[in-house]
Amino acid sequence: MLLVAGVAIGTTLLAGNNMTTALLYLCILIGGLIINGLFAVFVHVAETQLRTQRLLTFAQLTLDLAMAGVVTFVMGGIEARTTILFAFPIVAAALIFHGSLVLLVASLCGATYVTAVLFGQYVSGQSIDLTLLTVPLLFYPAVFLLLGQIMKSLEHIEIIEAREKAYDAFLSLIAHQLKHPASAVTTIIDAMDHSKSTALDPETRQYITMLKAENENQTRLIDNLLEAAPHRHEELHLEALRLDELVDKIAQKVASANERLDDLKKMPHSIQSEVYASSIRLGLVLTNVFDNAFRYSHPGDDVQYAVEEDSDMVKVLIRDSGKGMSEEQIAHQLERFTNEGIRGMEDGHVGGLGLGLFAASQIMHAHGGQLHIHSGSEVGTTVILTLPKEQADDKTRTND
Amino acid sequence: MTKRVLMIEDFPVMQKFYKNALEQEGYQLDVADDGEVALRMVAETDYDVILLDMLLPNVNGIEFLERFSSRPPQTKIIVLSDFTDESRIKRARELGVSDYLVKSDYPPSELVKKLNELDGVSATTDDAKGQS
Repeated sequence: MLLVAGVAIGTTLLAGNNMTTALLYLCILIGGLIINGLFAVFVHVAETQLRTQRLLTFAQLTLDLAMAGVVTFVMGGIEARTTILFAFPIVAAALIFHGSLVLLVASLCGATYVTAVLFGQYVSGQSIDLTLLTVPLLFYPAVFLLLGQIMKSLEHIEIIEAREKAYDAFLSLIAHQLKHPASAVTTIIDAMDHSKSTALDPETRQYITMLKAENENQTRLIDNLLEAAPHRHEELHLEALRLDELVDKIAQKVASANERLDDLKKMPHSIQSEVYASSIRLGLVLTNVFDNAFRYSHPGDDVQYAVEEDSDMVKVLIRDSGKGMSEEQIAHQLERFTNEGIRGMEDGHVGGLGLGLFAASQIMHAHGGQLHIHSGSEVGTTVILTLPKEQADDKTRTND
Repeated sequence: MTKRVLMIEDFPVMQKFYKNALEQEGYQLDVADDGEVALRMVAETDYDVILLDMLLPNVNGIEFLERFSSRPPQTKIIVLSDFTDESRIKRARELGVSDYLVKSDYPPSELVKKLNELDGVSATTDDAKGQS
């Protein structure tokens, strides 16, 4: 690329253009090299974070397009008609091919163009100033390399999107396959737990309780895996529900599963309004948040919760008195498959990928609400879930 | 009066345990392995409640709902499935499903509670209508 840029500058000067124009070309080309190089490094560093990779590639594409616009504008001033004639087949080639192949096609087109001009000169006997040809022939390949880079960026975006879709489809498939036997186990445990035909001895009952808790954990992990898919909540089916009743039900269920019913403290609710939400998904959000509150606090410490409302919003507050989280930990909790989480798992130092709060946050956003975490070392964590209050005529609203 | 329930479910483990739990509570439960068989059964019998799985051989849950168009007004259709895709929930609701339940949240004991609750709710609603 630098060689082409050098040749381009030389030929520009040869063709009678001034030094300022040549320097402008040089700056554009070297700038393009540096910017594209930096983007390539950033994309590489982003590793598994497909969303960041995609954003970077989009930014790179935008810059490339802007630069291509500047170059074309500057070139148009020199030899507009030749540019159009010469560029036409090569732009077409760039749309079909990409990268260095465009340079090859550009060179072939150039050679054909020169042959045609020379043949025309031979046939007509007219004399043509051949130095005018050097600009399109030697400088344009540099421009088309830029064009090739643009095509490469486009292709990169397509690859990332295809990878993202394949990855999510794979996760969904795995999660669905895992959900089926997990539900069967839930059913069997429930049947054992509620069996009226045989009296269970205390030890067997204890095993059943343990089995039930582990199976619930596994089911929630599978649900979180499913709910963490990016396009999962584009079409939410909302139904009218009493949030306070749902919160009470989930709080009791999770406290019972963690054997911490005595630690659960309900603040008086004064809420009367209904919200329009997906009860299945909101149930998962509440299960994740309550489970974290019990998991990261000591038995005997209170887990408090309250449901409040103001004129626009309904709010659920869940507070534990555990060890709390730093700002950095909170940020990681709200990311999907963090590098830290993956590295931790590879090192055998982590208990999960931390998908629960990420999925919860995604679900709240899809409802037009939010999930906030307030936490500090040794002061515990408060999670605040907010949902908009909606009018009855909004109940058919979906996010599609 | 004994409530007649049809469970459309192809997984034998689910059939067995839900059947036990519901029959212990006094429900009369019939089971269909797939949507095709279920369509024949609903043509012959008026059920009070239909418990419908979504993933079924031959005729799946959504296809069953589409083809079971002339249903008696008292028949409540409740989906009991592992699938929680919003598009599926939305379509099922459009086709007249009254509740969409997730199997892991509604094992037999919870489903029995839900059905008893629905009975209570409908009785109250009927009473209220009668008074107005």
